[in-house]
Amino acid sequence: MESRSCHIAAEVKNFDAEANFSPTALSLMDRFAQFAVHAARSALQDSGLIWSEEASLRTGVSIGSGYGGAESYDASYRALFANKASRVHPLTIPRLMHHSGAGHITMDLHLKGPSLSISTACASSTHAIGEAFRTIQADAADVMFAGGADAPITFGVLKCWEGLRVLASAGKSPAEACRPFSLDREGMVIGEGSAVLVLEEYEHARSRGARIYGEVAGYGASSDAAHITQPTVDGPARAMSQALKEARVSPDQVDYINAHGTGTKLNDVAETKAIHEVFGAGAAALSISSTKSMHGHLMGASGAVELLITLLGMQNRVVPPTANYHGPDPECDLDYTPNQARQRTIRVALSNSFAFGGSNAVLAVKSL
Amino acid sequence: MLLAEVEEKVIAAIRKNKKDAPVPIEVDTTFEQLKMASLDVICTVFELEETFNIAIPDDAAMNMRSVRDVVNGVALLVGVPGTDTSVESSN
Repeated sequence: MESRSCHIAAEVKNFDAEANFSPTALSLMDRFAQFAVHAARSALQDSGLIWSEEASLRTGVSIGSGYGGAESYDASYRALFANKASRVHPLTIPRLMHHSGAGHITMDLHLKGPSLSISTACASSTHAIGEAFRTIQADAADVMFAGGADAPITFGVLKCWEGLRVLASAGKSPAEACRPFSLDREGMVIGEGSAVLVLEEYEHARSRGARIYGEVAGYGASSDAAHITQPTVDGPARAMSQALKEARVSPDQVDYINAHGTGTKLNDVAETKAIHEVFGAGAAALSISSTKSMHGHLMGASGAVELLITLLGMQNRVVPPTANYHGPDPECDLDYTPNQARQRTIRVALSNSFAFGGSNAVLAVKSL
Repeated sequence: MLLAEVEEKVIAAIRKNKKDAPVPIEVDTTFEQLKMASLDVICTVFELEETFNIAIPDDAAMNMRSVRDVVNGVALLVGVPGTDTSVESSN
């Protein structure tokens, strides 16, 4: 890519679409939908759920995506504008629509309950999981396949992000480009992928002997009502407080926060201040990390990947690190678990996602 | 271009877009026999437009019922010698 500075992206390598889908299925699926279905299939396998017509009516899907079929948009626009084509492929619309990810999951797994697609930029999948949690609370489903998928690594999308000047440059070591909370941070690295979790009504899961990774105990959602890109401290703080309140835990019971931690100058300072506001003097005792330092920012899919990492950390009693931490920023003065994972029992954790548009979503999970 | 060549290319286009065709694709096969869904038809139409560099009008695309309908329509549009243009004028 031609550019003043060389930006990089965190691609999913070696994804063999042909091995996972028939040619007919692939003709209808953008890369993000392929990721979504692939993750949902793995979630189903891991869950041990057994399909029945009756159960399928009470099983739904909720998928967050910031971009939907970005590659399909890009390819069709390139054909029209650059190659001066007079027509685009007839399956472009079914491929590019945001809801194709959730829709393909319902078809692939034969799930007949509610299906939702949520697009709240970088908070999409955290909202999608939160709304799936609400769907189960409202008794509209027993099980929800919830998560996110995005595949935004296209020439068009990257050039748009480049214009905003928030991307980290590759520098001497591309793997160290994303340095959340570090004094020398330069911005974010766009990634791609999907994570899908199985949310299940507690007694439903217990009665079938499901392996439970943790309990989704609270969900906070708030708006900054301030600026389209510049985060506030108040909005994220309210989302964290709401999640804690619903989970009926006090701040001192929280051991870990998987931070939004994009690695931009603004986010990391605002998020740190928000954590101070919610946790007060107890903030110093928290283990915090931004795993985006390792997987990049999967846009709408980030929150789901991060909740998954949080639950695995809970299960394995390990706090994942913030990689590429080179030194403290005076304005980012908490324990970000620099560079090394740490052993710690995680009783309660928060997973934060804050989006452009001033939309904030936080999930509180408890160990069982 | 000869009619035989149009037939061959039309059948190839349908085959490409209807991989699970339940019967062999021949000139006299109907779309009903092939179980062509609407998406199969529009993908085939797109393929034909690209292959022959033609524009197939929406009403013609929606009214195709057999491989022969497609062959005749394409032959008209590409101007195969001997194609009965009265079909066009009678519409």
